[in-house]
This record gives sequence, C-alpha cells and structure tokens, in this order.
Amino acid sequence: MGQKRQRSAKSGAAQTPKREESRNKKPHTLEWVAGGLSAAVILAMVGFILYHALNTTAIKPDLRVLVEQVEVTDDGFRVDFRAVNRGDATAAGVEIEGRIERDGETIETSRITIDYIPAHSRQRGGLLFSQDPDRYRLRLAAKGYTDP
Amino acid sequence: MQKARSRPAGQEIEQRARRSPRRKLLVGLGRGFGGALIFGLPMLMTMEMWWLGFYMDRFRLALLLILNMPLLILLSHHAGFEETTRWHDDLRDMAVAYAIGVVASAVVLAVFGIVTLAMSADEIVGKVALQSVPASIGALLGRSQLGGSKAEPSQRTERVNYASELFLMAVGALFLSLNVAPTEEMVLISYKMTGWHALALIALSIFLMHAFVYALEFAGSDPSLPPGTPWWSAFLRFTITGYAIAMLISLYALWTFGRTDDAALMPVLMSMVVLAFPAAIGAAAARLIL
Repeated sequence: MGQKRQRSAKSGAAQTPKREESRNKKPHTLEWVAGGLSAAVILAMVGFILYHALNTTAIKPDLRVLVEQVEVTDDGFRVDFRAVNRGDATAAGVEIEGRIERDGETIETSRITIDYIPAHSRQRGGLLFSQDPDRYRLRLAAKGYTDP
Repeated sequence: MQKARSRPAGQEIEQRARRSPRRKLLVGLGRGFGGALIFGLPMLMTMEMWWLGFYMDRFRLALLLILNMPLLILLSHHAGFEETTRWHDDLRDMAVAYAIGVVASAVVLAVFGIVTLAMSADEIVGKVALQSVPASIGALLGRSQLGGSKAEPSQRTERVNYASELFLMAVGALFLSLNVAPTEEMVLISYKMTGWHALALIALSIFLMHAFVYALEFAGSDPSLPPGTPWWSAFLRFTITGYAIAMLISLYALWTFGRTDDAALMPVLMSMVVLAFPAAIGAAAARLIL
C-alpha cells in the first residue's frame, strides 16, 4: 500500500501534461498480440530444451571424420574433410590425423586440431599432403578430444 | 536524479550553441565522436572483431551495414543530434553518425596497427565497416547521453508508442549483444552448460528483465504502465515481449558472426540463450537509460 502511494505521488509530479493524457488509456490489442506471440515462442523454446535435458542419456561426443574431396594444389594435395559429432556433448580440441599408407606402411602423416565440434554438428577443414592420397590408401581419424 | 542535474547543463550548452551555427555543429560532432568511442572501444579492442572483419560472410556483413541505416534513422527520430520533425533531418543525422562511426573506427584501428596499408583493400574495408556499426550507434546516442536530452518513445498514438518502446528495447539488446556476440566465450559458455543450466538462465533473464520493468513502473516515468497496472499485464506486454526480442536479436547476431553455421538446433538454441542474457539486460535497461 505504502509503495503504491509513493509511486503515484512520484509519478504525478514527473508527468508532463501530454503524457498524463495517454495514461488513462487501456493497452492496445496489438500489445496483447505481441505479448501472446512472444510467450508462445519462449514456451516452445523452453519445451524443446526441457525435452533435450530429459532425453540426454549418453553425454559423450561421437566423432567421425569423412573425406569430402581431394584436390591438387600448387605444392601438393589437399584433402577436404568433414568432422561430424553425432553425440550429445560438445568435443573441444579435437585432433584429426590423416595418414597415407602404402602396403600397410605409413608414408605420410598430417594433423590438425579443431577447436570445437558442438553436439550433433559438423566442422569442415583441410589436411595437406605432398603425396597423392588417391594413389595410396588414405585414413582419416579423430585421435582425441577434451570436454570444453 | 542524475538526469535532473544534467539536463539544465545540457540546455545551457544548447542555448550557447544556438547562437553560432558553427559552434553548434562542432559540439554535435564532438558528442558524436565521444559517443562512438564510448560505445565502440570495447569492440575495437576485441580480436574476434578484427578477424570477423576479414573472414565473415560478405553478404551478412553487407546486410548488417544496410540494416544499420533504418536503425540509425529510427534512433535519430528518438534521440538525434537535434529535435527532428522531418524525415530528411533523420536521414542527414543517419549519414553523419555513420560517417563519424567510420572515421572513428578507421582512426582507432590504424593507431592500434590493426589496419595497415600493407593489407588488402578487402581486409581494411571489412574491418572498418564492421566496427562502424556499433560506433555509429554510439555516435547517435552520444547526443542523448552526453548532451542531456533523453530518447523518448514516440508520443503520437498508443500503437506507435508501444512500437517505439519495443524499438528502444531492440536497440538496447543489439547493443549489449553486439559487444559480446563475436567472442569465443559465448559459444564456450553454451558448451559448458546443460539443458538444465539453460532453463535456469532463461528464468534468471526473465526475472531480471521484470525487475527493470518494475523499476520503471515504480519510477512512474512510463505512460504505458500507469500505477495500478496488474503485474501480469506489464509482465506479458513488456517483459515477455522484451525477452522474445532479446532472443531474436541474439539469434541475428550469432548468425551474422557465423556462430550458427553447421551447428544443430540444440547448440544454436543454447548459445542463443547465453547471448540473450546480456541482450535481455540491455533491452530492459534501454528503457531506463536511453
């Protein structure tokens, strides 16, 4: 009660006549529409996050590395790859290693570290080799990660 | 209280300035540069912003630069270099603020050695252009913050008034979210959080926003919230709408800076919730501060 009195006393002094005019009006319908729409959007988002929070069981990343294409560059070959995380957790500092093998023997190795691969997301990158990966056997694999 | 003190001082400067047009122009430009630096420096000194200047998607950069124009025009309408009644005044203020933003960004980046003549034109233009967006908003607000006049919601009709309240909230949200959106910490925080953390953060954001709305109602300075308004009315019309705006602005900022690329829906939502926290504070505070 005390709050209310103070509020009206304070506002009464601060109002300009023009503002005083508009204070008795009821909120426009548009305001309720905007409020209702916003509430729906926020509730949908909360529902989605809640659903995920309840259904997340294995909280580990699940990493896979796929070759997209091999291209010839000025001083060698570039292997474009896609590192996919199918798990429910984000992997940080993911080390990707590419090896070229001839008759089961590794003849060249290239490495790259990806900062983050979020859950159910992918990151693209490239590894550079001096040997032609298409002539031998190319192996790409994630070697390790940390929790962010 | 602070406003009550600064307003007469601002009016006094205004009166003196009115006597000579050249002085008036210089005072206005000075305030503009001051505002550009106050608002732009945190971003001018963030390395992710320099990198984004050359690697961010050119279409998204162009879109940001174009969207900044109507934003500045509307902002000028609310708190321009001077009382604006005609639209071409707002247009001129927009151009001046944008130019101040570009010049201030270019000078500071050059002094820091982040922009040098050895770089390609694409890199120089990209870095300066990206920084000119927050700096130009700062230049426009410099007038209202340093000159003592206040950004007011438009008073014409009820509907316009509400729309301009929402616009001021969006500007506040954009401002605080632009400050932090380019940093890696935004996504890192979202990776460290679980869904439960996100739900707690949403609740905290909405609670704090409503505290600001309540403070405004308490100050009685808002015609949309006359005393005796039921709490749920203010909550639905301002707090919830404001939070939805903060979320959309956050999503736009994340998309602009390429933080949503190749990410699944859940990580995008999580980083949106993280960024919406400062955006919500900015949106709520804008109606008090601007």
